[in-house]
Amino acid sequence: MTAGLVVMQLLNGLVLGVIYTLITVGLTIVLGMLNVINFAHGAVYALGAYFAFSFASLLGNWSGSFWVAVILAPVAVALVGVVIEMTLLRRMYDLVHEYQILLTFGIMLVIQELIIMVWGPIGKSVPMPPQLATVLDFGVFAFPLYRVFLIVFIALVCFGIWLLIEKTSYGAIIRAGIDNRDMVNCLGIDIYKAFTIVFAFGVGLAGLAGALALPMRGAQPLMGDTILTLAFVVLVIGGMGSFAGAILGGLLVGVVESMMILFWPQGTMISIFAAMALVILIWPKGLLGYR
Amino acid sequence: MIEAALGKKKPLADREIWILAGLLLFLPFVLPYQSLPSEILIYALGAVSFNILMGFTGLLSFGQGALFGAGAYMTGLIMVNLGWHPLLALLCACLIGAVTAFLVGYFSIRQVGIYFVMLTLAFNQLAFFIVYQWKGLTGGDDGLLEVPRPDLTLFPGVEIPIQTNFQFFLFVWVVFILAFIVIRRIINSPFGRILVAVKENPERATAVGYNIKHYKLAAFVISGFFTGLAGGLYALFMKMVPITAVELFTSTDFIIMSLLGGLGSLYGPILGAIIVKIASEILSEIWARWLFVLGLTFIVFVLFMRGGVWGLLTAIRDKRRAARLVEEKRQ
Amino acid sequence: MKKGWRKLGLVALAVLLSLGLVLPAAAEDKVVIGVLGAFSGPYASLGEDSVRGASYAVEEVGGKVLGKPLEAMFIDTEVKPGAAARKVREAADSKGVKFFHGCVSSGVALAVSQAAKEKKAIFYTSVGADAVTGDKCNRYTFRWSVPTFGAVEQTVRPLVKKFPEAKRWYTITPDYVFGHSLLNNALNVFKEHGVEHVGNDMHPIGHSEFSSFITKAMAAKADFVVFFNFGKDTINALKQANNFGLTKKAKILVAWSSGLRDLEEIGPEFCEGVYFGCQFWHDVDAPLTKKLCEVWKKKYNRLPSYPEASQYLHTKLEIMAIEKAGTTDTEAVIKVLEGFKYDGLTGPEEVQAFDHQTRKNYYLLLAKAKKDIKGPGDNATVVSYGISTIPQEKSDCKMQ
Repeated sequence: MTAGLVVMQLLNGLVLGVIYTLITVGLTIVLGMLNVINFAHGAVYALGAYFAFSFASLLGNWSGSFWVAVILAPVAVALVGVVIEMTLLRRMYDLVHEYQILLTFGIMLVIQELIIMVWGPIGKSVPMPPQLATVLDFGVFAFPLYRVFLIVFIALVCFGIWLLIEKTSYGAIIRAGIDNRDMVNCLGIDIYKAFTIVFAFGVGLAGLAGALALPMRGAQPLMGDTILTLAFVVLVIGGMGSFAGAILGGLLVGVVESMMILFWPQGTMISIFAAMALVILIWPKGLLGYR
Repeated sequence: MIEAALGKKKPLADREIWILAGLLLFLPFVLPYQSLPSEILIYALGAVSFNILMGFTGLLSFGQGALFGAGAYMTGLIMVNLGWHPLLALLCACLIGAVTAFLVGYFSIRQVGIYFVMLTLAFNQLAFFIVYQWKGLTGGDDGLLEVPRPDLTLFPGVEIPIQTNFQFFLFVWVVFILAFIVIRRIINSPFGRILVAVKENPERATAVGYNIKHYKLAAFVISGFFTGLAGGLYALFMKMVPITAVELFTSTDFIIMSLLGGLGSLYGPILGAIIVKIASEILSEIWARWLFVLGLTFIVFVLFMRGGVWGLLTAIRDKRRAARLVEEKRQ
Repeated sequence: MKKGWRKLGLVALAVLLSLGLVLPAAAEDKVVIGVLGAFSGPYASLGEDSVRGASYAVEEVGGKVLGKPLEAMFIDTEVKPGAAARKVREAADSKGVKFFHGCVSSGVALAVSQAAKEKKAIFYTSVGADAVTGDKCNRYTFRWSVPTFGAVEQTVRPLVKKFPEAKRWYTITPDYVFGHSLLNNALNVFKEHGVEHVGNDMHPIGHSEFSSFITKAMAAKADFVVFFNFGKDTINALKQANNFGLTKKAKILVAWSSGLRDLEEIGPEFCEGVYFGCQFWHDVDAPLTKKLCEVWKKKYNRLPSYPEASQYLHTKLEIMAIEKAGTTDTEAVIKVLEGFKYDGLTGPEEVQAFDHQTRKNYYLLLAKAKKDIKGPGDNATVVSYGISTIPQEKSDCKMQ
């Protein structure tokens, strides 16, 4: 157990953490605005990874292929989100939330099976983008440059989202919609169009996470399942509807998971859930939640 | 629908129970599968138990797998290590189901709505990982193998065989009908009506003086009792306890069956279990991607047929009855 | 109310009855071999391999055995012990199937083995856990593949001998029965050769984060890192090993692999210089394998994979045994199989009578760099191979 190893695990924890954060931010925005828990969130994360794979494969050996894929994949997932919201989800807004959850659950099954039908059941992978394929050697430990990039990039994305929500008029609509949906409607803003955009944006973020994780972990049809549960844990810990909570919760879960691998690998998941139970007991609304 | 069920009929004199029992008894004769009928009833029990939570109390619990698994492992472990009477092992399954439900419920009920749903899901996953890691006890990924299924000794000298598929089916059938009678009693009682009130209008129920959290927890415990029973039966049925018993998929199986069959009605989930089990058995032989069909069907039902198949059938029946009344009025 | 109920009951009955008529009736006098494969779930591709391998074995004998029609029935195990055991029992009860083979995962195989024994049906498998022909052995279960003992003997031991200067070995193990078996067998080899086992990491199956284990191995200054994983875990592990630069700092052995299929899927960039152990390799001096390669070239324009080959052989063995016994009575077929000598996919092979384990070769391969690959299938060179099975005195198998 060297200092280098611990530092490396902390960094790994940050990497996991930012991925969880990105996914959960999408989940929490959708939850806050539409009051829908998107059970299909893990499935769209997987979809993002698969779209990125396909785009990267189409573009072939060109060195920029991965980057184009990382841009296109979330857009494709967002489009899928638009379709889902407009054809299916929209019909459910008047019902109790349980039915919306059930609907997204059904959508999750369909997406997962579609993934297997289109891309086959074997996993897919892409090589690391050549620009970031080096390993930084710190002597006491080594760390792939790509993972550092992930931390920085996702941090920037989160900053961008924060700017969007806090500083722009679109963001104001979202914040108002979370607070009081009907009032926003009364003010003449097409709340239903806002819903579509927000849902697409939320799943697009998950798709982005999947695409970014692709060189690191590859793509498997059921990769969304564990991620979904973890996203829920992050949501509970961080607080529902809270953007800052998603960040804090995501990083916390990522670091806990990573450190537990050093000390008690088999107990990793159990520790995470135990942490979740603890948070519920002491801070029922999550660490930063306000709902 | 609720009005019809709220009558104070004595269970054994009640036609409905006899008809149900009779129909279910037909299953092994009608299906070309030997072991499927038992499995259908076991899952039906799990689905009906889930419906106590969702259909009647409005609690969408993704944690039924943990309860089912608890019952299954408890019975399995008792049979493998202690060799007790199967009925005693089943009783322990019920108890562990109720205890687990109490624990899960206690944490989860602190929140409402979607928060509650997520917590139950997370707890189910926790149960799964505990079972997975505690290999010495549960066999982990391989499952608990070689669970014995001895014949039932009711009195000294009276042994009831439950070895063949049909014999075991009869045993499950008896247990199921008895459990169903009890559940029906509970649902039809004033307690059951309060549960419905909690679902439909929790603010009003609180205003009238009911402690909602207690009623929700009670519903959880009752559901856990019977789900644990279903799990125990499953262990005896399979003669092993696979880790899939505690998986999230088991929770979602019950949810799917209840929705497709009909939430909010006692008989709906039974119908749902029959339909889903038979369909998945047939479909999985034809197309490996049959989950896709299931998912689509599920979406269609959630969108357009929330009453499930039972809801559809009763709607047809009501329409025809109304048409008949109109006819009679005219004459 | 009463009328409505009666009608409802009649409708339900009619539906169920019609289902019973529509579904196929039980088999007449034909021999059915139940092929257990993974058609859904995480290893779903292997199901199709079962179909190709088993179907060809049936085709090879013209679809007949002992003059009766022969049929392969494909059963989806869903890689779940519960589902597989139930389906096996169902097939035995409803359709009278007495011959099964397949399974990808040891856990599933153990459950199926129990079910097959209950129904007195023969079960041939190629999973890895020692217990299948060890302490959980039974008269009805046979195994073709070499279990973990043999795998380790034919990969770790030759490498320990070949690289005497590599004194520090690190292991990464999937946390289940199969993984533990591999590890324990390796530990014995390490002890015998005075090699230092500098660390081990257990991980749950399907775990995709190997970064910490890899870094721990590098921090421990391991000369050799052994991965005891399987399937996509191996793929993830090797990719990340590459990402973290492990491949430059230590030698790597993947003790259990699917051979060519894995090498192609992972890709030569990530496999170069890595040692792989496998049950089957197409480029060996066995007439049966050469013939299979020719057939596959004609049918599918490629080489057969290990899953396809093993399922082919399972089916073929069951057919051969039935023919030789002259009957489908399982007791007679078991007697034929015990001690059965035949020309197998790795050369001459023999089924041991005391534990139903097959004596066959296990191969140690060294993956080639991309530039050295001259054509499809040329992904690796065979470094060594041999037969290693647990002798009767040391075996945990007490056959009932």
